[in-house]
Amino acid sequence: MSIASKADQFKIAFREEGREVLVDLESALLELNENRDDTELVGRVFRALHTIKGSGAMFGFENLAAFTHNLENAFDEVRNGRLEISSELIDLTLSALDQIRAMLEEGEVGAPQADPSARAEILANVRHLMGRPEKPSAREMPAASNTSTEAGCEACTGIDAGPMREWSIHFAPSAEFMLNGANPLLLLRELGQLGGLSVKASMAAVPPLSELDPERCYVSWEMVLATAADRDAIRDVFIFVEDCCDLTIEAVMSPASTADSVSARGQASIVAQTDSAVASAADLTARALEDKRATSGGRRNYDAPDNASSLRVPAAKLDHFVNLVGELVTVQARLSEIAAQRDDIEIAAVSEEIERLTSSLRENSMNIRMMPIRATFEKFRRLVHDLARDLGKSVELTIEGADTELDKTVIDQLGDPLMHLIRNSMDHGIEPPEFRAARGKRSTATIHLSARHSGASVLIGVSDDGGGIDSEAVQKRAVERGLVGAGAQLTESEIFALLFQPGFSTAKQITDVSGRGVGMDVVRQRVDSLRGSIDVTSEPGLGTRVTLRLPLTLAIIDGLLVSIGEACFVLPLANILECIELTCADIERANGKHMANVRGEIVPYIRLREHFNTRTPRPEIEQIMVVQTEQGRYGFVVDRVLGNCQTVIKNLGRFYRHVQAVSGATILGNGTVALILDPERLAQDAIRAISHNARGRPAGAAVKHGSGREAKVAAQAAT
Amino acid sequence: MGITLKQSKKSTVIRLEGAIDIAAAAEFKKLLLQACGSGKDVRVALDDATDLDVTAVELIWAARRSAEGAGVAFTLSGAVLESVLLALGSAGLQQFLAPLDAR
Repeated sequence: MSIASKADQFKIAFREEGREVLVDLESALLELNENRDDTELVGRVFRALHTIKGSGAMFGFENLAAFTHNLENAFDEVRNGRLEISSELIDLTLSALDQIRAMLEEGEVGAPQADPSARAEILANVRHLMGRPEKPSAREMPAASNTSTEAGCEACTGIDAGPMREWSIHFAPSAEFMLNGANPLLLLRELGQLGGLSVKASMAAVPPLSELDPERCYVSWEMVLATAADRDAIRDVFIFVEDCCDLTIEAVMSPASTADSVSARGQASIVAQTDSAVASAADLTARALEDKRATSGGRRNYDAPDNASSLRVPAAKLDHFVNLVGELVTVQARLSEIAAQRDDIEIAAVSEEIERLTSSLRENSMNIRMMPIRATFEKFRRLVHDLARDLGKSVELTIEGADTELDKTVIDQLGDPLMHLIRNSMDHGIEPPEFRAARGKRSTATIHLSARHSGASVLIGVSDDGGGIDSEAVQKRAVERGLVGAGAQLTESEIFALLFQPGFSTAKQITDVSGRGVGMDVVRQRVDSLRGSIDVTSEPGLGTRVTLRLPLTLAIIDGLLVSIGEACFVLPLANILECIELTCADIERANGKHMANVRGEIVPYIRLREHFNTRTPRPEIEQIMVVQTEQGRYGFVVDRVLGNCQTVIKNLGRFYRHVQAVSGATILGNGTVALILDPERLAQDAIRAISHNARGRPAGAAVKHGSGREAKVAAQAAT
Repeated sequence: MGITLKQSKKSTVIRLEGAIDIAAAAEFKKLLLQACGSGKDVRVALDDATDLDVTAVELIWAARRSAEGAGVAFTLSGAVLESVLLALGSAGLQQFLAPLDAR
């Protein structure tokens, strides 16, 4: 690989890491807005800016580094008590963050445009806040090639006002470090800005000239840094190169003993030391380290974060890996099928072993894709902050269950629906502060985001304590739009379902935020594409809660293979509670009603052969799969239960994508296709059918869901 | 930017110009090997170098050892930019190029 392409790769890595730092920065800024005296948050903002600046300069993002440097100065003023946190400063920094993000993504497809004039305006406003309205001097604009250090430039130190400590740092770049575009000299310069730095470079690993790889870094460094900065701040200097170097950061002395000997803060300039000049400090450190290692059985005392090593893997590689596991699962099913047909103990044993391993591999690969939803939730803090400002409302965002994990593919698709739900709540649900106060409510409204697991699904909630949904107004608007007939008797859930119809809006006027009736339609479409469902509850005057039920994964599930007539279907195992027999006598006892008595509990059931118009003769004894759904326990009657199967979910394709009761298809070991049924949707269909039949109207008249008839077509297509 | 090699009867002079970094490292090594293998005194002229990175320092250090091992005189001439000197110094690398002056 050429040097240029390696450098590009490193820039990509910087972009990826940079995005994460920006997310943290945004979150810290928004928290700081709520807790303006929190010095820890100020330090977090400062460190994030410092990291972006330092690393940006190192990887060739000079403009980004220069711009960020000025903001870093402002937050240094905050740290030193010379500048107060204000809404203006927070808003300016958030706007600056958008510009930094645009500069970071510059050149990427679909990236936001960086705006130099907006940057200049932001900087002018920041400097005005700092009481320095003049233009930034060249001295304040760092450049990657400028290696001179500014003695006493506190903005560059990155030191928090903590106790002085001395740290021993071992830094050995990997063989490919330089090829990756990283420059150790710039890193050491940045490290030196944290305090008094003594450096000892070792050339011991440099081979004879003839054997030397000219593009490789052989040098390693032992350093002693006296600083008030904590371990995280030191580590942040290396944040973008941690994967390609050997780095150890160890505290050498206690704060008390160090405080007298070193006054690093006053000596922020890097001490350019020669080997002999640093020998005493380095020897001292080495002895201290030797003592420490001797007491711990000679083992190197690694920092906890080093032990908790992790790998950054491109999502596409992960997707490919999961696809391969999916293929393996399909092949394994075929092997099991063949083994079952042959009376060969050895093949059967191998087949079972492969089945076990495949199952384990599948579970592990699925776990790798699971991610906490925290980052998705946290990014809405900014949206709530900005919308509250624009709409003149006071709103706080609370988050619950941020560590709930779900498949990365699902998480990636969740951003838009949540954004639309929050915008809708902010614009229509939450009342202006004076209105709330007049109603005896807290003037600051709350939007609550929550996530929790429920069986094989995850429940994502968006609730607000606003005015609730005016169901009469919704129905009136639906009548006006011809979605329902005048005088139609709709349940509350049917009325709320109207909100998700394309173009539906009760807003009296279209605002920048919402009112076009597009957002909620997007929510429904996205949730449908994820094979999820939406539940809305609302209390007039008290608020609204929208719950999205989404599958944990979209790739492979444990299923139970059943047959109806000649067709095979898969029911997700996680939903199934038990399986009971249904005989002709049972049906007679129930007077033909679709009700089963399960240990004294009456469980309604759906005969899937009727649902799918299967015309083959029914067996003497059928099987009821009892399933737990949102609507309670339901039974699904099938002809036979064929057994467990690991189910690789395949999309149905565009012809059947609107079939709601079927969530996908899978290929069985014998090569045939089985449809994967969605018990939740089937139960909803049944309830809807019963409800509408009871009212003498055909199912689907109120809200078009397109499930029953299309499901039959799909089921017939699969036979 | 460029690296040139000139040979006279008694010595070989490698002149560095511009930023001598990883992009120039392979060429620099080739010329150093050629110079050290010539059996003549080797001089590396730094007057026009605007930057030296770790790979350049490593090459000079290895070439110096190689030349000394072969009984060939190896010297550095010219002064480097102060900023380069500071950067090398802050990384503890200045000593490996000593004596080195700032301009």
